[in-house]
Amino acid sequence: MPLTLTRRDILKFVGGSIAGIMVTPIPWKLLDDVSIWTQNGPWIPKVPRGALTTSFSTCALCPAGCGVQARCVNGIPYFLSGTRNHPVNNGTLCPSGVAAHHLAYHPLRLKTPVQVTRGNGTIEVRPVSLDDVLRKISVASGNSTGAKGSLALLDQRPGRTVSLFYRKQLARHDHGIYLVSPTDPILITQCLDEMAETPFGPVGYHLENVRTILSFAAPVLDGWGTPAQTSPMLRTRHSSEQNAVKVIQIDSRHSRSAQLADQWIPLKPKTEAALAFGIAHVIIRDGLYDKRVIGRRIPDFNIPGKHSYSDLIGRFTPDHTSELTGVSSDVIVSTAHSLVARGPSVAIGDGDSGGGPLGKEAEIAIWGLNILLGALESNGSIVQRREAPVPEGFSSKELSPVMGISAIPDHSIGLLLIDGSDPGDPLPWSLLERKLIPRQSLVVACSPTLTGLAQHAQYVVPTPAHLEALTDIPTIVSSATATFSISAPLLKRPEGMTDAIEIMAKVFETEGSMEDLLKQRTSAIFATRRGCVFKAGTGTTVPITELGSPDEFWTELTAGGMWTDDPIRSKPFFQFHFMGRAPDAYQRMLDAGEAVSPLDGPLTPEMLTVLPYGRRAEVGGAQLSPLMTKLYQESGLHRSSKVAVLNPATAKKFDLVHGEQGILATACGTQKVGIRVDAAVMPGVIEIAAGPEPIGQAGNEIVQEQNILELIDPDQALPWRAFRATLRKA
Amino acid sequence: MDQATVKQSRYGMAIDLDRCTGCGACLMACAVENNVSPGRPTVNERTGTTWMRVIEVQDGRAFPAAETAFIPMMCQQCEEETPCVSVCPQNAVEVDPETGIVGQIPQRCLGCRYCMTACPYHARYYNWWDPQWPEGMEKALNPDVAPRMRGVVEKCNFCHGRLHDARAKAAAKGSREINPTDYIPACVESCPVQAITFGDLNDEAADVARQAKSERAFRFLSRLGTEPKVYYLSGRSWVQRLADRELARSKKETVHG
Repeated sequence: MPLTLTRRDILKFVGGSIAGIMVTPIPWKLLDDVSIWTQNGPWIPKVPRGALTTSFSTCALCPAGCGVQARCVNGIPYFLSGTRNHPVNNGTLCPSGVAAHHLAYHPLRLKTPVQVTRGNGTIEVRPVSLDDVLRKISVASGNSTGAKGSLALLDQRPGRTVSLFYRKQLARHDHGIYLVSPTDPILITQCLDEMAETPFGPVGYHLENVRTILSFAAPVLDGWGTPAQTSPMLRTRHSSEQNAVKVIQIDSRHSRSAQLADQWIPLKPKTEAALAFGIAHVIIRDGLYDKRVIGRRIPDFNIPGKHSYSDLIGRFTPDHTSELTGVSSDVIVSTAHSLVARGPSVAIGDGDSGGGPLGKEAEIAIWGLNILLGALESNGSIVQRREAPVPEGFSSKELSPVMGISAIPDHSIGLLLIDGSDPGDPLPWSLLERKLIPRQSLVVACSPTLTGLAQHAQYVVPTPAHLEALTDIPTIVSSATATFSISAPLLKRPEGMTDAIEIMAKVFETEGSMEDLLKQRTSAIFATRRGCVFKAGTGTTVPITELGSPDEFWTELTAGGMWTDDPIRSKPFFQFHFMGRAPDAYQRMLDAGEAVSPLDGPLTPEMLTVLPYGRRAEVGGAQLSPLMTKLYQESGLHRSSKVAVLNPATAKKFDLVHGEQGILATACGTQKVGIRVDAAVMPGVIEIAAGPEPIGQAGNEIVQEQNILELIDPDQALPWRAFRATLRKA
Repeated sequence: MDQATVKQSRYGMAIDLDRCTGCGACLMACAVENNVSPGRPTVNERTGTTWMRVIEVQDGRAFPAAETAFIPMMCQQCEEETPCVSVCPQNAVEVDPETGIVGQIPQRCLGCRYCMTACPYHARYYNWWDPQWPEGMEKALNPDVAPRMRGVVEKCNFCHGRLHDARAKAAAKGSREINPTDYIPACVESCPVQAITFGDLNDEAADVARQAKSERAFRFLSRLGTEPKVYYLSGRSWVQRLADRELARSKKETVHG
């Protein structure tokens, strides 16, 4: 019988085969393989291969200056950890430090100098040559005379050796201004100098001698001190140890230090001075102070016939202080008694990175509290310390004075240079902008990225990134003795990067090299033969006298070492004016104490009080590793600048819902934010970070940062700790 | 390896929640050590890959009395009835009998995500995208850990690369027993307040074994009977009460005690 194949048979065979093959592993294996082929390819990064080594350096991301041990492959760091036994961090690092070796690969890094042109809501970035930038600076510098404005240099990391270089050059300029952020410790110490009959000089803290810390919104447990100082305190939290340090955090914000403190005392924003006076009132009223010391030390404590400190303090009864601050009178009284009973105690002000300074009068009030508590006595926890020795030619007489933003007249700066190589404390641009001569000023920034204040400059010159630059780490404010360390580069810098000192040297028509400058400084320190040196390689500390030469000292410092000065044995006798020495001191202090909090001020029903905050080393966007998305977006552990946090009752009152988007608005602009509800936040306020906005791996385009500090009204006087804004649904 | 001559270990952790400050150094060190790629700009708590998360919890009281604790949460290395092992159709999850560590084998994983559903701790993460780093950053990857591909699940493995290193060191000295100081996971190494203790729970002299028996010790969801090898310590009763709660992945879903 002949076999006849019809078209139908063929179709049936093919159809059956297709159906049948589906029950065999063939198509599924093929599918699996295709899937695997698409999953794996040359686009999957290969891990580096090569020699494994270990290097040491010092972290320059924040003023602490932690020792860093880098595990390297082919000489490139791939894992950072703290240097064992290092006096600053004793083997630990913060999350920013752990990922700091990624900053060199940040997608927003500038590769060439750029000109930034701003339009109406647009930003145009055009590459230019370094010579073009220098020509512009030269013209503007020539114009920066008294008639056409001053030449100002904003140093975002003051206290470095290069800062001395800047100040020296500015002192030679007829209209040179050396400008720092208002939260800089130099300015805070100036408040104490204003009280002392003779300048007190740099201040340090013996925290290991303290049993109670009263922190006025300082991030005491979150970046104010060194890890070696705060880790023991944090380890003994919730323990029953009698000698464990007790931290009382006075803060309007539910900050990380407020969360971690033994006691959190929330107060109405901007009433820190009143609370300091209220606590001082109880100490004086109940005779809890050393009358002999106060009699000898304080000329303005009680002046018959004149306004004196006791008159001022007499007004701040617990009940009156409670009305001003919102803190109950019982808490005020018990806090004052606790500080004395659980001494030695110390009060710390200083402000913080994002939240800004407390204000001069509040700082003076806090220093007054320290004098009452005996913290400035010879056995007290606040000590006078020396600065690290400086080379010849850099004495204070030869340097331009350190100035805060409030000391500079409006519309007076013709040329503003910003050293943003190591972005430190932020400064609201609106405050800085009003100091510039409108439409005639030139702003040039030296920065690795177009972020922070650099994004407001007309020209930005790229500088080496973290771990590519050679720089020194000045003494942190909390240290009882002077220290000095060097952050030596662990990575080779790319072509086209210029150290800020080279730009500034050309501006001032002089010679300047970071390595030469730092070698001069280390030689000056070595010449004193004072102090001891920590050696990172061995984890040991030896007297400096054991080192044979300045070169050996330099080698140790550039290999992750650290110099620590000898402590000053005796503290000279000081007399302090509790209210400062200004002629109108009494009235100024009274006004500061009686100031009405923005929470109590005249308000329209829709207004809320914004409390910005920021963690040191995380405020600027460029400071963060791209991997920081883990910390901010993926875990929500740290809040970025795009998250506004409110009390549930406040959210309900304003019809705002957790998880929705909102628009935060002031007279200066608007910002889109995500709304979060947190029962621990004070009713009536919005807590929002001043940075950062983490940038994921695809964010390699130039972006204009929106930051809460951009919304600050320049007409509102410093400090910017609290200001009014509206928040509505997006 | 010759089972008869090698000591069997049960690696585990004890995390002191009264010490943890929520700094996140452990979380970052984990991501750096294990070559976990950065998230995309739109990444969130559901699409990101974070082997270790630190969850902020509050005691439920209102301002100003609210108290906060931080709970580092990673794979709890379940010992019995390990949920992810039992549901995996590809045999891509297995418990190492020598160490007790629950391992994930990306080459076998087909990305079905049953294990993610089964995990009561939400400690497993799916790679939604190809692993990518900003240009040049691949030079700074850990040479001991291969990046995982798109479409597979991954999780904490107590820094397996470091275990291999420690074994290699021991082998170089002619020993089969590793020195405990040679094997320390990245999160333990990086914790600034030494809140995390790691070691062999079978070794009674080890700190971790002693802490696991402390009155302050508890385990999350122990009622499920999976015998996790990560212990938590707290003297605060409201924190201990959280042990029976299923923790959300982030602050966005705050858990109240």
